[in-house]
Amino acid sequence: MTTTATAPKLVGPVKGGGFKGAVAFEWTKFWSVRATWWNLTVGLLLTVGFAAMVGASADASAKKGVDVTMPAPHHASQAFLISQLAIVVLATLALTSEYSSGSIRTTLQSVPKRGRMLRCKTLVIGAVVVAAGFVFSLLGTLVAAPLMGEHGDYTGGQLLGTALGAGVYLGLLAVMAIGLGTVLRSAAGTITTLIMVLLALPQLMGVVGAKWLETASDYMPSVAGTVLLTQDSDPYGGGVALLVLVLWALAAYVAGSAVLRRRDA
Amino acid sequence: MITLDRLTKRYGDKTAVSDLSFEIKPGKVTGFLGPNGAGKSTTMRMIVGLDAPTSGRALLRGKRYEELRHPLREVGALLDARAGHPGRSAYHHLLGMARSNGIPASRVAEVLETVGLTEVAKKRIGSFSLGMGQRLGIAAALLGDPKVLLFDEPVNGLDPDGVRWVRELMRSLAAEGRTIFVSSHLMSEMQETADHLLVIGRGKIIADAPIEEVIAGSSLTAVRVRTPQPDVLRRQLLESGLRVEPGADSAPDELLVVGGTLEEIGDLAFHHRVPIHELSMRKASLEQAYMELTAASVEYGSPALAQVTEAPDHQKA
Repeated sequence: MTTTATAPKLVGPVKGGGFKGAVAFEWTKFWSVRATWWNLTVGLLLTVGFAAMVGASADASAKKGVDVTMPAPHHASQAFLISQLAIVVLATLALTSEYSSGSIRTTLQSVPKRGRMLRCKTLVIGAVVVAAGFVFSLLGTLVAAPLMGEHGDYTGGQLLGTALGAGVYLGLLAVMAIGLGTVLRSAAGTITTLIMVLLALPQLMGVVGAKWLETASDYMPSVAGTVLLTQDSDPYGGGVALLVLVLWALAAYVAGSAVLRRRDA
Repeated sequence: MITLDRLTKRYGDKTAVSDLSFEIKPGKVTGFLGPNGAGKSTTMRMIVGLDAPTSGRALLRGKRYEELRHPLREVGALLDARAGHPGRSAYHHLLGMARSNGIPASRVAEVLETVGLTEVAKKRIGSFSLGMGQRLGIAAALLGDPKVLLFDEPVNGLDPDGVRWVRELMRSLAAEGRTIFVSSHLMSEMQETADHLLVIGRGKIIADAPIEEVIAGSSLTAVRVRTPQPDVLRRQLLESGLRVEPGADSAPDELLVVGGTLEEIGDLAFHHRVPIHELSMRKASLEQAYMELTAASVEYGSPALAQVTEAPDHQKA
């Protein structure tokens, strides 16, 4: 290895940095690891694959005389039950890998204002996930609709509504994952907790038989997510669903932010 | 310039750094020495804001690290060779850092060239050896062309060429007027590199002095005298308040005098008409001086050593 014992000078005016610099930093980090590409690809394949499956099975059921009429975007969005996990993993890893690899030291040396660091990271990951959710949903519908035939007739408003709902739902899930990941600093712990909250708990709460638990289960994030994805009005409308999800995301984010400020890196 | 003002860090009831106050001045390499667990890394981490002090402050030109708008342009730090995502390339690791502080992207290639990693710039950091990781850490520290540089054990894992390169780099950075603060457990390395030493043990300052002074202060730094009349000279030396030790067993005509200069001892011998066959300085190595300084504060010494050094405290425990 050839080296020089003197360091070159850095010339030119001092500019940049600050909030914009921190966003550029997080953007560069996010796209320069393979996990990002893997998880987005897996998320896309799962969404499109499951959308095709549910589309085809709707058609098969219809042939047996079962009424399966449902707008294709709503039907296809069942795929997010599974593919949301790829997004959870994506957002969790973007945060917890900083701790497992030690790169959090580099990150905080570059952007020592911790609140700003977390805001910018959340902004970058959240924005990418919103866009991904939107595109995944559109592609899922485009694959499911032809398979459903006339049973899946839908309007442009439904297509767009579901795509927006998917973007917002997954985006807020990503914020939850980042917040929780900042508290737990462990990928395994964060992903397990979120799988519990998203998939297992709502089921368990329903079967116990206690009325209040059943009511509470309506306010779990995946239930609110379903409302957003299908523009449903049961158990509540889109506005309440959005509020429920924002509160979940905010709670996780505030907890993460508090831990990040107080604990040594 | 780095200023520590009563810097203290406690973990529960264990004190890692206790009430440290000192200034690290520009234009010099300041060596930071101390046994394992003495609080060196914790001190460095507090300087760059990774750990929050329990009390006290660490200031860089009067500001706390997180108050710096472009921190990488003011302070470069190599704290741990493991400071990048293993799946990210060296180039992207540095590019992200550069963007965060408004440093032009062209700078990344420059510092990679400086540390000799140009050819592996696109390789994933996870495939790097420890020495390459250290080089990448040094590149990251140099990225913003900062006035203050911190290096925690910079020569870990480097080959002899690399060790010499780091030494020359630090000397030249200091010669440019920068503040260089470097910790190491390699005494021979420090002896070659540092101008000033800061020795801590159990979180407290044991010595804060130019390296020459630390070595001169060692009891192993002595004047060797050979004379056909050792007994006469010994008496005279003792009378004038100097400490005298016998020389090597095989040389009964040899005395080792601690605390006097060549001139004093030569004059004394002349005054008392004692013939002198040899008068020479025996300098302690930094390692010897350091061992004496820290003997009482070894945190993780070998059990036998710890028993000896901690004997006075034994009854309390």
